[in-house]
Amino acid sequence: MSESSYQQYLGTLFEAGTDTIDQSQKSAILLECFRFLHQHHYANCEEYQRITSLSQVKFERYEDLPFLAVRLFKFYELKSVPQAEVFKTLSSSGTTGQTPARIFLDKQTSARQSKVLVNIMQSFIGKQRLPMLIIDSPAVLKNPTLSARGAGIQGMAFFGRDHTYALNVDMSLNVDAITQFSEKHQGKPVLLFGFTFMVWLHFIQALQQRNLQLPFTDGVLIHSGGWKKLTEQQVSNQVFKETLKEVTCIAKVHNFYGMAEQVGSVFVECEKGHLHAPPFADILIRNPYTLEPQSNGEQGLIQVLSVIPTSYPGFSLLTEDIGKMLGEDDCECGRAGRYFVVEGRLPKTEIRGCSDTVRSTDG
Amino acid sequence: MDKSLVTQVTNVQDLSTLNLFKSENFRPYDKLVVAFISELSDRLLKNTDQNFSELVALGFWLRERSLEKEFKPYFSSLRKPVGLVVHYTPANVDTMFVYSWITSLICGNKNIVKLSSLLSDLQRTLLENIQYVLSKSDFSPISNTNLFVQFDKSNNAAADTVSMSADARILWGGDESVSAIRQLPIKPRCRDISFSDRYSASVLNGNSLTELNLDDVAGRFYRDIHPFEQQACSSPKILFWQGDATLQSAFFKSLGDKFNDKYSITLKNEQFIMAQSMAVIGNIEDAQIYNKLLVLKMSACSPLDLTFHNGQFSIWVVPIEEIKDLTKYCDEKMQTLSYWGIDKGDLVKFLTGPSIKGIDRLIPLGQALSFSSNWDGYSLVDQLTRVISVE
Repeated sequence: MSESSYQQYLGTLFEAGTDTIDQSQKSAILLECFRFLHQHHYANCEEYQRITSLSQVKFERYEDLPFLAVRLFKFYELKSVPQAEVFKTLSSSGTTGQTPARIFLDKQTSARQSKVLVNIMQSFIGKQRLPMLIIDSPAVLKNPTLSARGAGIQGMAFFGRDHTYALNVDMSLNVDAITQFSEKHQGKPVLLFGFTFMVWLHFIQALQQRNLQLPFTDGVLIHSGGWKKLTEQQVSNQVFKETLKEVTCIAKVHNFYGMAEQVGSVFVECEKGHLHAPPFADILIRNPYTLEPQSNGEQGLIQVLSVIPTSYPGFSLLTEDIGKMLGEDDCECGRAGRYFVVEGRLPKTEIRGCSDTVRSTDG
Repeated sequence: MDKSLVTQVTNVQDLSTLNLFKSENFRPYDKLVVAFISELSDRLLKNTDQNFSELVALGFWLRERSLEKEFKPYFSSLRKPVGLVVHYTPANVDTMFVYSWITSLICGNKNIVKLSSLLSDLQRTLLENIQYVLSKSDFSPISNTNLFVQFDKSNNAAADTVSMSADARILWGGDESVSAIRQLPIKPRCRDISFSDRYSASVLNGNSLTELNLDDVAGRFYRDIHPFEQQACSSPKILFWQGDATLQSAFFKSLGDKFNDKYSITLKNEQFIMAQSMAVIGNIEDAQIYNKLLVLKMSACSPLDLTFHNGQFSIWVVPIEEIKDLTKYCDEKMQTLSYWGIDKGDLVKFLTGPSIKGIDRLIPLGQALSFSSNWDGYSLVDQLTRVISVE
């Protein structure tokens, strides 16, 4: 398959939108795209070639596509374009002390990421650019190396206008900015965006503590970044939404699942609370004990597929997130395709050995 | 667990009040010590849950007969204990520290065993058994002179005091932690025995393998890699395959079939990452899964970077034609070489070559994890006693 037919298929996906293209049509198109992407990375990335030569690769169904361990991007610089064409390097925030992933973007991949993100987001929040309250501090963009947090905000800022930052550098509420914003846009459609844990800790809880009530009856919150810390505090998605509504009047909330290794093709939560694979991406669940594909409803490791990346070999990745496929083409929200839920992460591996006092020389 | 065996050191002054410092040493191979170890052996062999095969192996080693064979010969010459030995134990290599502790005890030393604050289930069970036997009144001279301690990482005073009290220190741990412990103050004549990062390998002669003996050989190899989830430094991570490889797949199939216990949810993902990492580096020809086992076939002559091997029931198979092909792989980090189908004399001859820096231990396949008081190139008894010269 040639690059031009890949571009054509992408065009079809952009036109299709989430409501018109069902799973069988979609996977047929995506498999053709993946065939091209495989050939492209095979020819342009030696490491990808060596990895995928280890097993048989077929393109009849997702299950037979090659997939890379997402952790490889932390260890190695994997790219499918010459260094001269790398125009931006994205690094995942990662947990403190961990090596961040490094993702190499050329202009095409970067542009495709933005275009796809716009297409997906507009299907949830409409085409109009809304006044936007960003639940972060403006300092996050000043960091010279683009963090995933900064990149996420930059990407989302496109969907809004009149950008206002709700937090100060020390993560305290910028009450003046919030008050001005809410007086100006009271009762009108507004867009809020932030990272899940920060929205909960530094916005929702901070508003509660100050007894502040915001009047965003026609507002929508988009948030992302994982539930781990909230689960530890036993805050469920439902509690999150209910508390948000109490303090801000916002009833429309969309969480999304995405990662630095596949920026752009995000999986957004619908009105029924399910994460949806957009036309440009899909998922597969694999049994953690065998890495074999699982059927609907069985918990396993999430494999993410995306038509976007050509500058780095990341179109098919096995994540360390655990989730469950809920169904296909039959979500009550009316969107076609697969929908799923993310339920956690693989635990950290326990490394044992004669030489493991390293982490525990408590003496 | 009952805290009475493990002393929590919060205040350094607590240490100086202990009997340990006032008591005398035992004589080497003291009867009471031998009686204590035999009882501990009985208890481990009778009371241990089958899931803790490592404890059964320990119990077996502690039998009086095996002790006699291991240690008696040393004490025909005049030896005395060095005094007080401090053992720094790793967080999770559950039973290794007991071997060095028992060796030191047999030599007649008093001991402080510094335990990690994170104990594994197996270590907990082990300590409960030790405590049960030690608490018998007959053995109070032993419990008075053997102290199990834990103290906080930030408690520098305790760390310094314990270290300064040592006549010898046994350091289990990775390179980094061993180096950190060696920064602590010590007496000028303190002896350090460091067990830092090592790895092990096996060598097998494919020409001697037949369909008839294959399952037995696989069983031996399984005994070397299965305990401690292949993370003990004497568990082989590499298999050098000499000669004919016709039966290699059958061998690994038989080996893989022996894994039938429950395994960690992270194992397959870790194996997957290891295989792909090795492919990125470009050293492997093939990756195969045999049940829980990952087998990576390395290209002949490619360098082996063991930092990428973290156990996980993974074997790197390296083809060799003759024993001397091992030369370039035997660096100073290689500890044990277990062998099958190869003449011991040939291996010894190879080992004595001046260019061979590694391999402290040559042992038949299937016994890689059996502890010996000669370990990592040290004779522990020589290190933990004073040899008295009389003329």
